[in-house]
Amino acid sequence: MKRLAHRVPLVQQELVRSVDWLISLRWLAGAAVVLGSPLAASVLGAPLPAARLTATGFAILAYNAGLFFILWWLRRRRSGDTAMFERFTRLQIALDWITIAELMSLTGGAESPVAVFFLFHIAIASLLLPHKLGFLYVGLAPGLVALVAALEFAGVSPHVAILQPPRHHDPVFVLASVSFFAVACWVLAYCCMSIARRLRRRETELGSLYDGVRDIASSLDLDEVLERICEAGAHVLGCRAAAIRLLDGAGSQVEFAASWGLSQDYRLEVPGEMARSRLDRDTLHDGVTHVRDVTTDERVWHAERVREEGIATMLSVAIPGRTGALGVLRAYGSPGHRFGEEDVEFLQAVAAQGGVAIEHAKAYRLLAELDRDKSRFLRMTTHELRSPVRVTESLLLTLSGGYAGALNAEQNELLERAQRRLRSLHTLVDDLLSLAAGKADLATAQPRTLDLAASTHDAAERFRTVAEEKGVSLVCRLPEEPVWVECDAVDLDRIVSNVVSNAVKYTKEGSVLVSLASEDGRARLDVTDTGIGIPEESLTQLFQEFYRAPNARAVEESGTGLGLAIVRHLVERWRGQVTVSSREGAGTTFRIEFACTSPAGA
Amino acid sequence: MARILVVDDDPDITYALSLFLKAEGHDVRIAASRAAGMKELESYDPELMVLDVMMEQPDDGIAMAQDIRRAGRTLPIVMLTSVGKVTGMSFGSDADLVPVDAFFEKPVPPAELLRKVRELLAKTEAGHARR
Repeated sequence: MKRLAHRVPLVQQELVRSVDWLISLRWLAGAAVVLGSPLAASVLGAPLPAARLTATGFAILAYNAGLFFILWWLRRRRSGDTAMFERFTRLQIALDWITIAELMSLTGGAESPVAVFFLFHIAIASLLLPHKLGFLYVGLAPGLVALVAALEFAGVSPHVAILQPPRHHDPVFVLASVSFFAVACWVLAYCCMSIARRLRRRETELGSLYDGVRDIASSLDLDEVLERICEAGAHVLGCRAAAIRLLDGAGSQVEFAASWGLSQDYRLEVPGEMARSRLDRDTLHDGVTHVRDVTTDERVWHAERVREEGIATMLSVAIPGRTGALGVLRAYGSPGHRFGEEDVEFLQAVAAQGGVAIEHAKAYRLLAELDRDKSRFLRMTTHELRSPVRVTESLLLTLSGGYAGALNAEQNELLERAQRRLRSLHTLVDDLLSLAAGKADLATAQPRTLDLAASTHDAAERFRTVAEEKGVSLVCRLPEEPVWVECDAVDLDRIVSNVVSNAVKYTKEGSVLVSLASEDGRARLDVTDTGIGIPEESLTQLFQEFYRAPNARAVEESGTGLGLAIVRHLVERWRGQVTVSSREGAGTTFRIEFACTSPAGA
Repeated sequence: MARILVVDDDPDITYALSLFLKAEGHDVRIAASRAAGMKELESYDPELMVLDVMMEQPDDGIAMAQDIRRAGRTLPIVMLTSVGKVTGMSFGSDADLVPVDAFFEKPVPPAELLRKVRELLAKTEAGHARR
């Protein structure tokens, strides 16, 4: 089964992007601290330790530069590794939190407004980073705030007084500000994490819907399509199993067509008649049915067997087709699995895509069958049409050979005329059938690497006697070494012999030159004659079926006008090219070109 | 001259063949199916056989030729085809698959077939003479 690659989830793409954003923001933050602290100290008249604040600002800029280079290196080394980006983001947050704690202690500890800066990182961390111990991780921020406040409370670290009178020794104030901050952190984290979790789930569902739909549409084999629909349904809904039951043409039977995650026994034990399967009947009628508990829902057939299979809930939707529902797509949930409203939409989306894919696959199957029938019909007709013509020819040949007694002059003349007409019927039938069979049944052709020089030689030599009897010289200029082309042996022979036979037929005196050359990976076969030529106005129609140039008709009455149509069809089938150049009364050149290949086995 | 068995389900073909084979002085027997052909092979013991490639089944003639060779018989077999020259030829290129001595496409040219028959019979005689 051909599967397409999975996408990178949006949250990971977003993480990679937000790394840049954090670094840009930090340049601003560092600059603000460096420039802002002397300003704040002078304007507010607050007793801020301006020198240490400025130093912290420079520290921010310095480690941001470091992070910037790490990011540049990361991008160059391994751009797609999201685990690396997660670690990198955590490193940034750790550095920032230490810095914020330092800034806090320089701007009043528990009294400082700087603590709110922790909230940015909490939002980013809870939205973008996957957390096993999310709340513990978030707790580090209020922990740091509490540590700063505790150290000042205990008099271990010096207090910068922002408020007058200073409150850092007031246990109620310290406790209140630390705990309010902690609550704010956790509430923010809770909101962000639950939103992120929901969005991630939706994204996974959408992602698997996307992947599933893409997979469904990538096959034309009906069984494969059905299996993929089931798999996509179960994946999108994240449930235990899924199955498709298709409606028969008469609409009286539903049959298991494919399943994913169900045991073989289970598939066999479910009723096929629509009359007995209420669940399917209801689904086809209403579009959706939801079984919340298989043990109590009376529509469920064999509830015990269903429970044994480990199924507790069912969600079924109709699979829409162009002229009514095609069947039912059902998702099965394990005990405890609940299907929600959005699941209905997702399952319906899978079913809708599935319906289209099923109809395509069915249409394709029908076309393939029709094609087989047509080929069979053609093969039969070939035999039925050819056989009587050839048998009659055999009979007349026996007669004209004198094996049934000697014939007088008139009898011979009559016989010859009959044989001539029969011969042209023979050619017409052969040409018609090879054209029809060629168009209908490409599969019978067997591509092989063939030596065009050898094929040309064999085909041309067959016409040497005819040419010499007419007094036309047949000259072959073929290369010594083989010219390899990809073609079917029968097709190649037919192409070359058709063109050479035409040249000999329409040349009264002079020569037919058959030359082959290969140049720049192209094999070029030229058949040039000094024959009657082709009128200019006929050149464009020359390759049309049944077309014959007027001067050709004058030379030979019985041509079919199919020979060149067959040549062009066969040449194009093998990705070659046939062209003609001619002057009426002077001669004609047919040029056939193919791409050269390397010899078989090389 | 020689005993020749013609196996073909088309009575017109067998009629024409027996006409010119008899005119050449041969003794000819006709069989219209693979089974009848195998029976004649036993009772009539022909010196040469003309066999159609397609009878009830599209490859009856080929299967029959294989049976005959498997049974250890080496008599010359001339195969008639109506499937088209090139197909017959490509069958013929594989002597194990189609163990016959000559191919003729229908319509059967009497003079050439007779020439081939003479040639094949002469070869068998020479073989016998050497032994």
